[in-house]
Amino acid sequence: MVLQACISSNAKDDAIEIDEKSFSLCLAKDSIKAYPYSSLEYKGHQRALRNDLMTQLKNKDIKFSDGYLFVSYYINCKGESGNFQVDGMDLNYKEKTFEKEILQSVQTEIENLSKWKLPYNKSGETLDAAYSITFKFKDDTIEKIIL
Amino acid sequence: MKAQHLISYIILFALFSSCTRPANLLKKDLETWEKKAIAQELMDSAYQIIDDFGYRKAIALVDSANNVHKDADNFIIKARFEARIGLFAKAFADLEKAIEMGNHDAYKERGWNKLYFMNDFEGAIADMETYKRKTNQSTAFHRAKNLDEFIGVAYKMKGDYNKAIEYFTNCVNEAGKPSWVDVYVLMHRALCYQQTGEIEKAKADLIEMNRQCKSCPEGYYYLAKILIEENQTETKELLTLINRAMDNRRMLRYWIYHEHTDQVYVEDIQQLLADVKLKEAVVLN
Repeated sequence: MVLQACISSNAKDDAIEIDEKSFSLCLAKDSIKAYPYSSLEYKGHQRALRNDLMTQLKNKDIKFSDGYLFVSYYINCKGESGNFQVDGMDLNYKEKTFEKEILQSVQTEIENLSKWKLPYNKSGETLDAAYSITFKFKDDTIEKIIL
Repeated sequence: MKAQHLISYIILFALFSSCTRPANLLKKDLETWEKKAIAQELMDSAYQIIDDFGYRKAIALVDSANNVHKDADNFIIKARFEARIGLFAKAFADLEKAIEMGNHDAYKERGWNKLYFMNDFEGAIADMETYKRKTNQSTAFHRAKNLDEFIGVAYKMKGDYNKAIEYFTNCVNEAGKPSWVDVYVLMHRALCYQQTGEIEKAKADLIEMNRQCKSCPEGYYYLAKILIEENQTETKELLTLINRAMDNRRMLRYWIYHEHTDQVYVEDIQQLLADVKLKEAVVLN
């Protein structure tokens, strides 16, 4: 995993890419837009996903600086996560750049999520999917995970 | 002769200025209208290209429209596009610009973003109340008919159930007829009544919801849940409600229309079913 060393708020792209590891989608990006036969699900649904992430991140010895962190990424047909992009805001809704350590730990925990039920098309072929999660950090800890 | 010349000059000058002044004004107006029309064309195109080219391209078109003619409404639309692809910092900055330009609708939009995306309930209430105060209106958007519904949801999420009931009741009263109320107002109010221990009122609201919306699974689910807790209803009636909740599960709406942040899951419905069957087995034994 290679994270960009310097994440600048002046980045050319609107959302900041935090991930440069080799990751490829099984189908073209546009295919994600098409309505699949079944949708992306997590075993135990959002409650389980929220609990899994919360437990893992709370166990980490990291001080999460206050703000909202929006993470969007893709899950390919093999269940691998990649193409992470983040957008940060402080609690007053002003643009904010989060520390590299926070971004790295969040990305690692998202990559470790393994209970995905991937979408498939009518012929049973597994499809890629896109997902996004918003984290709210307050008082050095993770307060909320918004799915 | 000189006096005659002077008079004719004055008349000519008066005629000339009366002709040119409106022409100048007209030219200015035409330029503004032209700019507005071009900006509107660009905004229309922005909407049209979303499906094929995505939100980033649409945002670029909105920027172009704003370069031609700055309009606060365009900033709100741009913020909406940005929120859809997770560029929340930019979305909030654009809504701030719209507010600075004197557009009160931006408060409503920002309140919605705070409620739906950020779960910032206090912030949402503050913005929506500001909108109501500044405009003397409470018209909502996003299918809900009254902004009080969202303010009520925010209070409910905060755990202030009495205040939430107040706002939901406002919606019911302002609707005029029961059939004109968004059924989800009734659902939310029922869930608040349940929290404040007014079970009969909760049941009445859910029954009304189920009467008005035959395909809303939430109404069947929550009513079944309350009836199971009461332990006074026949198994057959409970099974009917649970089956209806299950059959209509595809009609579930997004989180704001569910209890707290959790969705009504198939597992939840199956759990209800298991509870009912367990109780029946106990009674039979």
